[in-house]
Order: sequence, then structure tokens, then C-alpha cells
Amino acid sequence: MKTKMKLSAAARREENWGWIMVAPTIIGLIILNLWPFVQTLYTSFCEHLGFGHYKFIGLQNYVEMFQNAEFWRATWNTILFCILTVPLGLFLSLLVAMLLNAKIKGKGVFRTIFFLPMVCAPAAVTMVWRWIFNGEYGILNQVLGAHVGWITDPNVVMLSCAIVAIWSNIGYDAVLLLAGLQNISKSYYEAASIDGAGKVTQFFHITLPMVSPTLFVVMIMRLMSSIKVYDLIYMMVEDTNPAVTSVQSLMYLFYRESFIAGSRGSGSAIVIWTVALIGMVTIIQFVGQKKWVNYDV
Amino acid sequence: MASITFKHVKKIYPGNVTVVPDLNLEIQDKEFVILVGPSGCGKSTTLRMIAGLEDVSEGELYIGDRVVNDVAPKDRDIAMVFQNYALYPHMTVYKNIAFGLNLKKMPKDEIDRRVHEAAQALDLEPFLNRKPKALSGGQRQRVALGRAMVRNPAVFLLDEPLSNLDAKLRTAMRAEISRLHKRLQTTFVYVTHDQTEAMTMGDRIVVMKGGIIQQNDTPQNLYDAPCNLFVAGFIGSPQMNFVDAVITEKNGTYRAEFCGSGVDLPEHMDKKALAPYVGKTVVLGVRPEDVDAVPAGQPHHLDAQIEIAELMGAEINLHLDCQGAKLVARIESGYKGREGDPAALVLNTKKLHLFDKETEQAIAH
Repeated sequence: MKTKMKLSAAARREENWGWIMVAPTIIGLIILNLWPFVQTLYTSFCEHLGFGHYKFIGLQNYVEMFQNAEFWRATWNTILFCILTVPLGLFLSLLVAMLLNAKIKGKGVFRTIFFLPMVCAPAAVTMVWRWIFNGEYGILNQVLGAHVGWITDPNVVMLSCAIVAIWSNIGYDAVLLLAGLQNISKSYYEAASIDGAGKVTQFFHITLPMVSPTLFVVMIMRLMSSIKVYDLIYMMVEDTNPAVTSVQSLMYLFYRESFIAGSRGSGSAIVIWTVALIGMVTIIQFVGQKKWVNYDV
Repeated sequence: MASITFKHVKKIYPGNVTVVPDLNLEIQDKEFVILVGPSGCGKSTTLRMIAGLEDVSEGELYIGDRVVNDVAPKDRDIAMVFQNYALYPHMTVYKNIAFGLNLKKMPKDEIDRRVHEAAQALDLEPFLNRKPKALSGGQRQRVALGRAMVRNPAVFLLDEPLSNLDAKLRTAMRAEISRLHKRLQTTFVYVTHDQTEAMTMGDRIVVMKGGIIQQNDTPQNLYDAPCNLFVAGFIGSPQMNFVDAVITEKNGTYRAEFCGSGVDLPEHMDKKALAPYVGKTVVLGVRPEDVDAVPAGQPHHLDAQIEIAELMGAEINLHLDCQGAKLVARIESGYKGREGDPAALVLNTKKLHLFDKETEQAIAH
């Protein structure tokens, strides 16, 4: 049933003001997000002729992309990166959040320490980690007394990148989860402790269900940023490193295609594929959340 | 046996804040005891110490004849109903009630029997598969009671369980909790700041202020013979009237002079207690229902002016000014006097209370 409500002058004025208020954001989104996306979509169907000239070639970029072994390797690398970083990262973040939520002295100091990686420049963070990982005189090999090529060994390099990614994100995710934890009323734990629930039971029956909405948001954010991972890998593993194919993500491949090989069309096709991947993963998550995310408060 | 005994119990919070300085209290088995007092009087802390949710800083706390200072909440054989109910929002009513029993690894059919029994007693059967958010405040309250009931605890602890309900529901739940106590025949400790709840429900009331027990007595005794000004003012609604009065004595008859007039003190008042106060100012207390207004011209004690007349239906609360002293009288609804009218007041001299102005302790009733 459609009925057009006649708005009073005051209501109309308020509506206009509403539009004026949201206009800067909307215009920004259109110029900086929506329009570039449309352009990328169009470019993915074109061949770049240089000097801003494009020729429409239909699905050819996609056909070539799907036949390219390097592309499939990058897709797998991206998925592997997500598998390595997201579950473990979330688990550790929740653990840290719970520790920070406990009654401990110097909580503020610990919170700052854990949040610190987030305010450091990623380039600086990666530089430090590269020193730690250095095969010859890195501290990690010194401590372990081993001789592992953390950044040069194709079998290990992905693991090294995952470690850095998890380390960088724990603080931020933990702060978000901490906010979720602090919303849980203390009386639930008190009621549970009278009911006879130990710490483990309390975690599974109270903490986890009640923090699940926050956990879900953090998980979606973390998955999206993991699928889009580029800077960390780029700074950890240079172009000339022979291990690069073992760790090259979709966005890394896109960068090389578009800006080093100069093939904007096929680069854009990779971007569209990545967007589709994110879309699929997000849909799966939103369907799956009905099973485990609890919005009853 | 589930008596509860506090022996010199002290509670100090971090930062050296003493909430309960030295508590000595005995609660008998199967008794319904109310801890009542204003916010911050230590009543909730006392209850939470019984539950084991707060540590006892010093002294000994017994449940039965066992010292429970270091016993975990789950091993104290208690159940607690929280002010905000603390129902697990992601569980159905059934699961909420069964939660504690499941943790005890009780057989499924026994759990089922107990849950249904409690649900039946509390009229919750139609809601067993609902989640708490789909219930009204009163229903949630009953689920919280059910969750406590199924555990068959030796002690029931209730922390302001009715303060989130509306007035009508509160009255109904009050009766329901009283019935529950009669049926279960276990020890109930009930915390409230509402003196009506305290008066209507408890076998015994413990009035607290600043972590110290002011008076520990039956509701009737508390009402009839409050031991100090605080208890006198706290119990009863509208609260007791207080006026400064000077005690005089003539031929063995004691009199209280106040508001330009005076009353003879009743014979039953302890003369030995009164004697030291002759010529001194004390606080005279009289409950609103012991002040009556009579038609002009009849013999009366005080002349006053009506400031506000509150019609309550069955009665009228008259707010009066008597030479600057403010009094409230609760009189029958037939009374015709209204705002601005003069009123001739008669006090029920058999029910006067005298308090020391300095120590605030009762002198005589």
C-alpha cells in the first residue's frame, strides 16, 4: 500500500536539512568510492592502449585471467593468508581482551602496549620484523638457534607474513572486543557462579554468546582486510625475492599487473574478482551468523 | 539447618573504604528477614557476602554451623535473585531455569520434572520456549524466582527483586514471594530500600545505615517502638512527624510543650527515663495517623493551618503548618477542611515517641 504522506512545512524543512547534512559524505562516497568502482568495472572489459586510451575487448581479460596459473596461485595465497590470520588472530584478540578486562593492576599500561602496533607506521613495523626475521643475523634465529629463511624460504614466508599480520592487528581487535566484553553485565557471571559454572563454562555460556555480535563485526572487518592484503606483503617480500610467488596476494598481483606491467585492464579484472570474493565471503558470513551470533540482550 | 550468622564481620573495599564496620547478626532457619536501609547502607554488600560474591574482610560468616568465608558461591547451597534478574538472554526460559541443574549433571528427566514444577507454580508454562526479551518485567521476575527455586537451596537471597517493576505488579509480586516463602519453608534474606516491602513481607526487619544495624526487630515492634530517629523516620509512610518539645513536670505528671501548646505524656511512659530530660528540649515524634483534625470549638491540642490537602480516596493527608513546624495528618476522607483553612488538631497521646536531640536515641514511647 503506497500512500504519499503530505509533509508539513516544518517536516519538509527538516528533511531538507537532513539531506544537506549527509550530502558531504554522500558526495565523497560517490566521487571517491562509487565512481572509481564503476570505472574499474569498465576498465576490466578494456585493453589499455596507453595515454588514457582504452579499447573495449569484452571478457577477454577475464578469460586470460582464469587461464593464468599465477592468478590462481595468488587467489590461493590470499585464501591461505585469511585462514592463517583470521581464526588465530581473533582467538588471540579475544584472549587479550579478556585479560585486559580482568581485575589486574596497570590495565591502562597494558592496553596502551597492545594498541601500540596500530599507531605505528606499517612500514616501520615491517622493517622491524624484517630485522627480526633476517636469516643471517635476525634475533628470531638467534633465539631459536635455528637457521630458517623466514623471508626467503618459499615454504615459510607465508607463515612469517601471517605472524606479522596477527601481531599488528591484535591490539585493535582486542580494543573492539574489550568494548563488547565491558557491555556484559557482571550479574550474569555472578548468577552463573552461584549456578555452579566454572570459568570455562562461563566463557562458553556467557562471554562467547554475549560478545558474539562484536566478534562478528571484527571477523568481517578482519576477513575483508585480509582478502585485500597488500602493503604488508609488499614491504616484507620485495619484487626480486624468489619466494614472492609463494606469498603474492591478489592485490599484490593487481599492483604488478596494473602499475608495473602497465596492463590496467587485466589488473582491473583482478580487482573485480577480489570484490566478488569479498562479497561471497560476506554473504556466507551473514547467512552463517544466524547460527552463532546472538543479538538478544 | 540453614541459619546464617555474622560474627564481627567487616567489609572493606579497595581504597580502604569500610562499608560494613562490625556486623553481628543471626538469621534463624526458615526465617524471612528483610535488610532495609537507604542507598549505600551496606545491605546489598551484606547479602552479597552471604552469596559469596563479596569476600568477608574480617570476622566469620556461618551458614548453618559451617564457616563459609572461603567457600565458593556454588558450594554454599544458596540461590540468588538479582535486581536486574540476570536472565541469560540467549537462552530460553526453560534453559535459564535448567542451567544450574545441567551444571550439576542432574538426570534429564529430573531436570524436566523440576523445571515444569517450578513453571507451574509460577504460571510460566506457556513461556518455557520463549527468550527473556519476549517476556514482560513481571514474567522475567518469575523466571528469576524459578531459576532459584529449582535448585532447592537452603537459603534464598533476593536483592531488590521488585524495584524494576511498576507499582501494581510490585504489590502482586510481593504477595507471590510471601506465598513462595510459606510454601518452600526455607530461609529468605531479602534486600530492599522500600519500607513498604519490608513491613509487608518480613518476619523480621533489620534496618541498616552506614553499615551499622540500627534496629533488628519484628515489623510491628519496629513501627511501634523505633529505637532512634533514623528508624522512626525510615519506617512508615508518610513518615513520622518530628517537632522539638520541652519536657516539664508538675506533681508527677510529665508534659511536652511544643508549638505554643502541649500535651500530657501518657502514664505508661517510663518516668525514670523522662526525669533527666525535664526542662530540656527533646524531639517528639507522632505518626500521621495519630494526628486527627476535629471541628472548631471542640477541645484540641494544637491549632494549625492547612497547607495542602492530598486526597487519597480512603483518607486525606493534610500537610499542616503549626507555628512554623510542619506536620502531616492522615485523617478520614469526610473531613471538609481544605488549603488555607485553620485546623484544630488532636494527638493520640498514647502513641507519642520521644527522642534525645543529641544522641537521636529513643527516650520513651
